[in-house]
Amino acid sequence: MREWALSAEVVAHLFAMVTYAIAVGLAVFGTIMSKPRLEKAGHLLAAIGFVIQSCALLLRWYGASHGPYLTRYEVLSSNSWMAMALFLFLVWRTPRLRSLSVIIYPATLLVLGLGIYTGPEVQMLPPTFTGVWLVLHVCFYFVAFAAALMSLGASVFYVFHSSEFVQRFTPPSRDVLDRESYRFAGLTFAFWGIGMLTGAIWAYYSWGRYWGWDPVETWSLITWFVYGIYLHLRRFFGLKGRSAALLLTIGFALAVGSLFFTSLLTTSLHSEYFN
Amino acid sequence: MNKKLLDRLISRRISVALMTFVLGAAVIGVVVPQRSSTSLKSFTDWQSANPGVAAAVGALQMDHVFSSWWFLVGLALFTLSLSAATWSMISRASSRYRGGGLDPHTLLEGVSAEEIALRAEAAGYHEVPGAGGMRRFARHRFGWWGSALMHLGMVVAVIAALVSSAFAGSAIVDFSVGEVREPGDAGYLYKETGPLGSVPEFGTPVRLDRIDPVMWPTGEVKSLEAQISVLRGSDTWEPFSASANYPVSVDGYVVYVSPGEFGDAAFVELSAEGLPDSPVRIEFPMVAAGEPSYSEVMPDGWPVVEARWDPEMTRGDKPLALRVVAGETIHQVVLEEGESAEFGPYSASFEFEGQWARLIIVRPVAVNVIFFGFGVIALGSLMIYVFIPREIVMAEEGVGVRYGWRAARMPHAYHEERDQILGTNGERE
Repeated sequence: MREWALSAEVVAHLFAMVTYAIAVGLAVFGTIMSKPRLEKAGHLLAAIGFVIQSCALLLRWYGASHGPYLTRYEVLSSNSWMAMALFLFLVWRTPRLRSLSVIIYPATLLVLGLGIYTGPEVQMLPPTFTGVWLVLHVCFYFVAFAAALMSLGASVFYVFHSSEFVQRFTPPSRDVLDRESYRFAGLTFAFWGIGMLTGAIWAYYSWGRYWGWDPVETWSLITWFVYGIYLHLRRFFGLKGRSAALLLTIGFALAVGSLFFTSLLTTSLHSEYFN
Repeated sequence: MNKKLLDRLISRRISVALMTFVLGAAVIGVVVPQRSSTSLKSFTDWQSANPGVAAAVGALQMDHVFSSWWFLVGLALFTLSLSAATWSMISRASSRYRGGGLDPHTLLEGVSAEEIALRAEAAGYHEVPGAGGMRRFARHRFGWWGSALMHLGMVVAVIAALVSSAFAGSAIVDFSVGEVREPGDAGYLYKETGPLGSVPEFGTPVRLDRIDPVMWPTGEVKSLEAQISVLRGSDTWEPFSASANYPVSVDGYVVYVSPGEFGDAAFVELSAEGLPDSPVRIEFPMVAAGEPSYSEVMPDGWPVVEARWDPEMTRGDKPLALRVVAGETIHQVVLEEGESAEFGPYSASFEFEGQWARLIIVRPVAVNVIFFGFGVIALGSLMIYVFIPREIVMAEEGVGVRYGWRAARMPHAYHEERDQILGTNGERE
């Protein structure tokens, strides 16, 4: 382990968190008060925070001698990093969605804050925590979580679109929100499924079984099914609008539960890393 | 298959109902304690605490959901519906891949097909063969197969998983370093086979040559490698090496070294009047340096013999302590290698010490097919939601161009792109 890198990484993570916190304030305040300069400064700061967090994760990688995707601290930080990366990319490609920042930035900040709260100690990893399938398994879940967060942001805006409070953020039209939540739900479904399948391959090489109805596996499957049902209802039964948005919100709650809480509440092979 | 039945099977209502059924079963599987994933003690404790609920749960087979008859019937119906839907999707994908036709309500005047073609190519579309004199441009054309492929992958994976469950077998065995196991499954700690499977059996002597653990400074296991040898002919041992996460394939079986289950072992001869003489291997789990490790054995007819292994002798001047608790009386003894002693009515001889490891032997059936199915699902998913296919077909007609445009999903999201290609700026004619 390189102690200097780990010390620097903790400082960088804190800097990233502070930068995100200021970005949240500026983006929300700027949007509500119709001050485009402040809002723009908020997005710029979020991008700067993202660069700082990227450096922090690289330092972590160098210092801990393994990728930042294994301990709870690393997983939460990487999840928030991926969510921010996806959202910044989205805003760059589709600027009219930038008002979703009032949901995405605070959520990202919360996930990063929780990560820092769990403590940055480098853990001694068990021997099963190696191999390319593990890396793929975790990375696909990062992308799936980020996509689920985008989908949630669009759904929440859709549900409360007519409220005066949401209107202050000049949200995109309901059609756009509906479409974007569908698009990101599809991406969540795809990446979540691939994450689950690569996890099954990793489990086979580690324990000689590819599926064991472990609580984390089962909740993950349930989440995938809920997204699958949403997509089928949407495509074949014309589900859209408020009901679709509410179903996606349930899907997101399940996603958060199965990713972050199941292994804390029950005995699971995944507890090895969470606890 | 009867067409009416096929239509019923692939109906959207049935598909969603079956998905909801599998989802509901999975929820029951995590909410109700399951025999397979709960320790026997906690399961019986739960039964005693909730006798009424436990009786109902048992009668409905909800305490082993994933092997209950109703789940298997539902899963079979789900697989049937999925297979039928996949078949129908394949024929639909094939037709869409070949291309669509012109939209009779579209005619762009004052524009040539060549101009549209140039703009389509600039937007990332590629010209593909068109039928009946039409020019055809497509982007992510292979994406039309996405949905069919994803469902096909699911069918392959589920059917292969069912075959695997029926024919596969696995066993767990504890080995001492240097020990040779003759053919036969005697001594397997645990065996599991599908209804049509058999217990893994090498058919030749197998020896554990050595184990090489690497520990973190905290005393936890960092990596573990085991070398086994298999007898070839009369006196040639062929070595194989397996480590945690990297199993080795030997004679059609996959051998895993269980990452957390290894350590020192004490070979002890136990005897007592009226009890059978019992040579035992007491397996001590690996613990941090300086810490004693605890274990227990219960030879046939014997009470439980508790053991403590303290190789660095932090708790005394001999490494092995044995204890038998009989009511209020405790009989105990400490021994070093080669020593014999009596403790109460029992006597023990500490023959020698060694190392042990736990190996898992699996007879894999169709696992590669399952993983192939996974790959197909992954590919299909990406094709559906990442590479959304779009297509424009056109033919010059009179003073303009008649065209047809379509996208596999979320067409509204690509109207801007379509209008840019057609040069209509949102004003479709």
